[in-house]
Amino acid sequence: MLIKKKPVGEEKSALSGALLLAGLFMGAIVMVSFYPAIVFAGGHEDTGDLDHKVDLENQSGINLLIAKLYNDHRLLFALAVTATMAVVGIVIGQVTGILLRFLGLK
Amino acid sequence: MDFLNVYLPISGIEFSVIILLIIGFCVGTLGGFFGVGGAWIVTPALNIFGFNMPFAIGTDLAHIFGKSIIATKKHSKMGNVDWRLGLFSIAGSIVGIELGKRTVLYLEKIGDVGSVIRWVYMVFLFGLGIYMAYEYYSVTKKMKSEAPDNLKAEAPTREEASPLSNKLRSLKIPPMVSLPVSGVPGISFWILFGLFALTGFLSGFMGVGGGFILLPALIYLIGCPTTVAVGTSLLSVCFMSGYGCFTYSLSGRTELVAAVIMLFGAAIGAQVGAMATKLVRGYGIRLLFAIMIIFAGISVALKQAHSAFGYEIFGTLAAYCVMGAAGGMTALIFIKLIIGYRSKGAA
Repeated sequence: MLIKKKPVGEEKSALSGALLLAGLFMGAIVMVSFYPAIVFAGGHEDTGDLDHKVDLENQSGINLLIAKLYNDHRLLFALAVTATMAVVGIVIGQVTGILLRFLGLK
Repeated sequence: MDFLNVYLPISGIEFSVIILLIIGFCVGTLGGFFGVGGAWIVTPALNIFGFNMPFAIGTDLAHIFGKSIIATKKHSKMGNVDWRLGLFSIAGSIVGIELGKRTVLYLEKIGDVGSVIRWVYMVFLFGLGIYMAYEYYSVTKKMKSEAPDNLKAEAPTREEASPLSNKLRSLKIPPMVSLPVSGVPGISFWILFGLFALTGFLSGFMGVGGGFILLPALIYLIGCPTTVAVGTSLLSVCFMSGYGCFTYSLSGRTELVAAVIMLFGAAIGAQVGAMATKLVRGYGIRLLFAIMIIFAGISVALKQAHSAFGYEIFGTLAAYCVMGAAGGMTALIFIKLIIGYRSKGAA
């Protein structure tokens, strides 16, 4: 049985390409982490008062949970919002995909 | 109709669920179809209906992040995402955005930056929109004259790499990179990096996510097929909006409940938009995109008139212009999708 083998030069160039991409990506992550103003910096919009607190009196259930997180742990709030959007995005994407397939819209 | 309203705990306002779902659906459809985030549509829409501007931007970015994950995943399944090119675009864009931001800060020190940005915006949007529409017209004319009589009614189907992208590919400055998914056998790394830095500069300068700049750059400068350009542009939008969502949430300007509701509408829209790219030909997508950005240009011109003359009516018209265009285009994509499926079913 013949086994097709990639030429050595091609493997080397693929490896160097992968390393280059990995390096670029890591560089981008590091840049963004240390200098967060980079992305959307040109938004020209004031982000408002950072010490804004939400009134908890009329809140209950999930709203109360969100408001408490917002008031007391802003970093956790930011992480929770980002993670929620990603997870909800993936779940809704799957469900709507199944629904559309069910409707015959493959 | 109070039961259709939802209380938003952070901004402390009541908001209509129906409006959130409709905005989400429209921008989801446009995002899936054109490969754009759509911040230039959602932000004015939320603002008109009662969100203050920082909350409108933060909530918009959060929902765009979720939506672009859905659309990227869908396009990836259809083989429309060039991951290698996407990573290059992210890295190059970051450098460009920083340069764009610095230019804005410099201009802020010496004068009225808002007006300068709006003029650049208008030149860019009108220039690109007219060029893309003209390209569609000339290609259609050429193909119709070459095609046999029975095919003359057809729109152009075959996409050719633009002369500019061929020229850029011919510059052999090492290291060379191949992009098989985009059908590019070899292009200089420096050309790619320079191009994405330039598109990033425009994003940073104009204060936008960058999808609507990246899409034409991928088509006309790299020579990507339109559907691959849409999918790859979405990958970049996904990264940028994810970061934007995090930073705006950190500064407390994201309304999670509203973003999740919009995401429900956007999820269906993103699927519809992505599926429609299979049924509308590449040049057709370019023409619709051209029409959409010309409307965006008119909206910016109205904003400039508002700033120059001070009449509130211009500001209101600007927001309704972009929203009307978004609604109309969504309806058109939906109709094209239904017609496409019916004709496929009949065949």
